[in-house]
Amino acid sequence: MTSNTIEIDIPCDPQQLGELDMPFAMLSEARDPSRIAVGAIVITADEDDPVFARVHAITSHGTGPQVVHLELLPGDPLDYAEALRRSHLLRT
Amino acid sequence: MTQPIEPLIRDEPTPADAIIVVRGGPLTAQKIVVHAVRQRSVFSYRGEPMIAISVDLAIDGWPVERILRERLWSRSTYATSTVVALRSAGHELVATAMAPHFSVVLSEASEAAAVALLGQFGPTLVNEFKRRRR
Repeated sequence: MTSNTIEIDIPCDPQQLGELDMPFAMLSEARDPSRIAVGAIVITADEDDPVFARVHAITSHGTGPQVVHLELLPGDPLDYAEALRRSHLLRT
Repeated sequence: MTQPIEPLIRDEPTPADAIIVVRGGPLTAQKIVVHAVRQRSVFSYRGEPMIAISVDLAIDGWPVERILRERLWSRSTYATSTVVALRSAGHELVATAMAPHFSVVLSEASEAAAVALLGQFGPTLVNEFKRRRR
């Protein structure tokens, strides 16, 4: 069964900057933490305005939480989807 | 263990009262609380968990239009306040990370505190610089 509900891989506030001057998220908040690795492309931000991002780094301080640093990728995810369909890289 | 925010604080003059403060959407108490909790989970400020959300200030070189285009390009909506309004409501503004980013310190990560903070902002506005409209 498919769902029309937008599902974010890992939520973040794109305005909230962390130690690497880029938005950050908590690994513990990821829908599937096993998908969150350095270099992975993920959907982040929130259901209202989802954004593509590349996982830049995952850090932690001492016993603190694992923090995921996100490089936001420009444009809207739907722009990427349209380009994929135009090029027949995505057939649905 | 949280990470002290102090090394990320910029050494720059205290922003003037009249400077505009911009917060990207969604402008809901729920999101404010979630973001404040996330900040608290990661950072400490003056030795205590840092309950804060992020805003951008229209400081030198960063007019509101540039903030909307370069910092909030993914946000459909935003709202503005002023430094004096937030200070008068008891919020400290801390220059953290890369300009024009600031942290607005909250007394607690609660819906009541979030509603009070949002009450210092004007109406929700459409960001004309969002890269795509659905």
